[in-house]
Amino acid sequence: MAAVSDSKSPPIPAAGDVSQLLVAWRRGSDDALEELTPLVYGELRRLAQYYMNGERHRDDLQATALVHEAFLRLVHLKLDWKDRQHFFAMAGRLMRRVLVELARKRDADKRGGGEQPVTLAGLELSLEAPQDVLGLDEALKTLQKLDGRKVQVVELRCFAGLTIEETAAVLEISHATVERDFKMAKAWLVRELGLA
Amino acid sequence: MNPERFADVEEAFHRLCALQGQARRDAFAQLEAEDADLAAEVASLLDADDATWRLGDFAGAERDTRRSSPLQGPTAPAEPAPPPERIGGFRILEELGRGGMGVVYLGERDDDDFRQKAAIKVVKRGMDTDEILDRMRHERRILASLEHPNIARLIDGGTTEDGRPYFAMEHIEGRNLLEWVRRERLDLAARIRLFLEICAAVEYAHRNLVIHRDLKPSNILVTEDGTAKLLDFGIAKLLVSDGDLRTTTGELLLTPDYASPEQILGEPLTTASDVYSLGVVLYELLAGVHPYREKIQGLAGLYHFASKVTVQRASTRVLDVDPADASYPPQGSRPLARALAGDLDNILGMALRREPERRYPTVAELAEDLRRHLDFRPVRAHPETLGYRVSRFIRRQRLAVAAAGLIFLSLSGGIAGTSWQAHRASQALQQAEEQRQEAQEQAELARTVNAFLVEIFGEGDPGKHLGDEPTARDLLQNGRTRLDTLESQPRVLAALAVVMGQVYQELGDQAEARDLYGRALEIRQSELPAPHPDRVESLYLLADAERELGNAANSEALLTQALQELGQLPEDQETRAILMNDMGATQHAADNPDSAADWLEQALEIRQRLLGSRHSDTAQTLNNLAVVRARQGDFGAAADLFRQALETTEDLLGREHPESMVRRSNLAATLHQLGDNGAAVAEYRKLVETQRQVFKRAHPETGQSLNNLGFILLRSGQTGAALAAFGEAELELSESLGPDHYNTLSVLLGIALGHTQSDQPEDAFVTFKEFFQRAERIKEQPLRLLQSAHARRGRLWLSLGDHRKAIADFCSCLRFREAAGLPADNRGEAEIRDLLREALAANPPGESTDAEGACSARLLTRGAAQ
Repeated sequence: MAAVSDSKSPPIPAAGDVSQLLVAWRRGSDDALEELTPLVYGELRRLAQYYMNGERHRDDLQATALVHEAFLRLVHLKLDWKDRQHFFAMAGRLMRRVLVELARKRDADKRGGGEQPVTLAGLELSLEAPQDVLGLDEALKTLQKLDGRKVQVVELRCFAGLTIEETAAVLEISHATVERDFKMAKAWLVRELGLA
Repeated sequence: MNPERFADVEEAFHRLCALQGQARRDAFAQLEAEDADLAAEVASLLDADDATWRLGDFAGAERDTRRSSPLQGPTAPAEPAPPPERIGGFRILEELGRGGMGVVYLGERDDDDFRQKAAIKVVKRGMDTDEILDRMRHERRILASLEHPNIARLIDGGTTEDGRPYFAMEHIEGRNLLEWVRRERLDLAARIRLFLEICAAVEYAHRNLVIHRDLKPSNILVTEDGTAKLLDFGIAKLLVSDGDLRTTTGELLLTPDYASPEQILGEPLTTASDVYSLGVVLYELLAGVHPYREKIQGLAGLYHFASKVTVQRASTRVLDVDPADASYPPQGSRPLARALAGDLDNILGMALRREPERRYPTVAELAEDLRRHLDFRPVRAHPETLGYRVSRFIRRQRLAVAAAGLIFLSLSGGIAGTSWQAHRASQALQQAEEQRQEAQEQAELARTVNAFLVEIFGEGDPGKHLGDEPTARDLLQNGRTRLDTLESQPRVLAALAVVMGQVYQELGDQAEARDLYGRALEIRQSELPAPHPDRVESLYLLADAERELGNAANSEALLTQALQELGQLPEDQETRAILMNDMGATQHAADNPDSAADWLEQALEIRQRLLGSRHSDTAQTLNNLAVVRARQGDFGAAADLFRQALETTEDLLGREHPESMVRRSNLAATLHQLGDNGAAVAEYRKLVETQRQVFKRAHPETGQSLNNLGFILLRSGQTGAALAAFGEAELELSESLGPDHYNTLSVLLGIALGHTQSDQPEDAFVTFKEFFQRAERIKEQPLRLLQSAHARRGRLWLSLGDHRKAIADFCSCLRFREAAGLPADNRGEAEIRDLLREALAANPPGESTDAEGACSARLLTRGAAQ
């Protein structure tokens, strides 16, 4: 959270106009999406690595904080709210991938990075070891086969940090449905991860 | 599983989630009957769902609420904001109220199948600091663990659209407790019954290890049907976790008018803190006014109050206030004062004592006393008299004595006096018809005695002791002088002499007690015809003091006389048991264990038959018999009896009661004697655990138990564990008694022995050195410890082959033994002399200094001469 105004934050790399791409994407340009994805992904990854390596020490790595930070770096605030939502919809999935990749790397190379736990918004979980992140990913893959929308809700809520209302808008379902989906998904994940 | 099945599971899961308590259990049972696999799947999910509540760490979501959501733009709306349309699944109807950090809304959930109203508490915008969020989470976690008819139930919880945590509670439509009783004009008994419901709720919370900490009338609502509901666990505390809820800025989270003194002073809180707050509520409920005369103002006022103020008796207080404030049946201040005087004053007084350990230890006991009052049974609360203060003091003393030695067995006959009096009172009541006059005399006597005691001990009048609280002895001395003014009323004088004698006895001053008991006996023998119960009482009491003074023969003669006189009175088995119990104690003191055992067995038989096993008098005799059995060397029987005594005492008084602790200590020591070190260790560990709970901080008795534990572990070869226990013992004792205290030094010896046993002579020598340095700082040389330390170090030197140093230590040892007056002819000393000879023989003669030689020769002859 404080990272936004921190002067020691890393410089923004290619400040490619993410906002423009988001607008184009919404207008149906698949090319825009293809260009956009690596930009957002790269930024998320860079930020995650940055915090993981402990250059700026925090108690834990908060996925949503990273997404928000990436958002503030990449996107103009004047952007239409619908386009913002698209950004977060994409960022949630990407964030999950980033975390899984980092966890694999940390798992393989024990020296790689500190041992910060990863915190996911709305899920009462703190994922201490790389295996925890990988376990969660596996559980989400299983859930994907049973009810894909639940996974989308989890990605939006937990990885991108969207509120229930925002999640409902992105997925174009009702507020109550988001709540129910999320409650079910949470219980299911907690049980699968053996935390109950 | 496939997606269809998953959908079924989900449907059932949501259906059950919406239900609570019995309804949920019923629905689940039905599901189980229909599809067991599905039910199992749902059950595991419900557990997981519960876990997400109980573990309830909202982690990132709540931390992130301090930023505005990026989708809302950078500016958050400023307070006051109109109520949101919905929070979670609830439609918001109106705002119910707001406090410093939160807002409470009335909401309604219109799910598919049912409607439900709820009070929804949400953190105010801008107030969502880590601290407040923590507190919300905390309250929710606590509420989730409580399900009780008199506690507002938690329904749901989550995070609002704009990221603030909320939770929804059962909406209580009701009134503040005080408003309700005023409006309904409830009479005293009805008020007490209503209050008992609140007690039940608090008691339930305590059983679930939750202290409420903010009990006050505004947190207690009464519904239209007259049910009391407890709300707001906002600053409640889980007994197991130790998080203090002072804020970082030191701001106190409490309502000073209802907070206990320890809460105001920031001291550790227990369930007794809630007892205090309940006491204030009860006071207000019954007297119609708050117990404090002045409003507490400012922090300084708080501290002053917490350390000084004594609460005015309710029956006195109602006379000071406008009768309009107390206008419920019984009408008017005076009738109300009369109704409050006595039991209710005492109950309130006991709940509102400044020191938590002198209040009702549990809400259950407060409630029990109120029920007793409603049933016209005698209550346990007693006015705050000196005798009570002293009896607590003496209990502490006894405990200290019991724990002082590794093997100390206490044999107590002294408690018998109390049960004697209680017994006398009930007897007087039973025979009320035929002996009404006698009963009236007794009552009159009791009143006079009581008034006298109240006067000399200045009970309940805070104005009387400005300045230092007088010591027990000052008060007693004062009382003795006044006693002489009662020459014209010999029976009153005798009764008072008895009471004061008991107090002196409890203070440990047996000689003063003997004088007073003797005076009482003299008066009673000249005033009352034989046989008479009062004469028996005086005989027994004097016998008790004589025994304690070491005059077993006098004691035996007095008790024999008492038994004779009792035999001429109508059959009174209870008194007979008292006398037999005491005769047992006297025989034990006279070192006639076999006779003692006979008497005690008879007493035990009567008490078990008359009072049952679950009675404190029976437990006392069991304990006494155990001591005698141990003396006879029958440690198996002793352990068995101690265990029975312990079980009963724990049952009646709780594990944390001093008597229970003494008995456990005795049991542990006996088990050790029996050779069952495993069981002894287990008992000592339990004892230490209890002591730590009771004393809260470092305490000599905890240290002593740890020391005993260490020695037993050492003897059973568990050197590592022993050293750990000694280490803790040293800490406890250094902190409580100081590093240079006799008991602390004794632990150091244990540590040195541990190091020796584990083949770490360097560590052992360092410890010995430390020991001798500290021993020098003690004013009165600890001769016994010194001789023991020299003996042990001498052996260590000898085993390492340093004969000169061994000789020096053995010589010092023998010198200290001589100075301590230890007999030269016992086995321990003979062993040291042998070792000294061995060392001298191994040491080339030229190397020993002359002085050492001379010293050894003299000491060796001292032994030989005997």
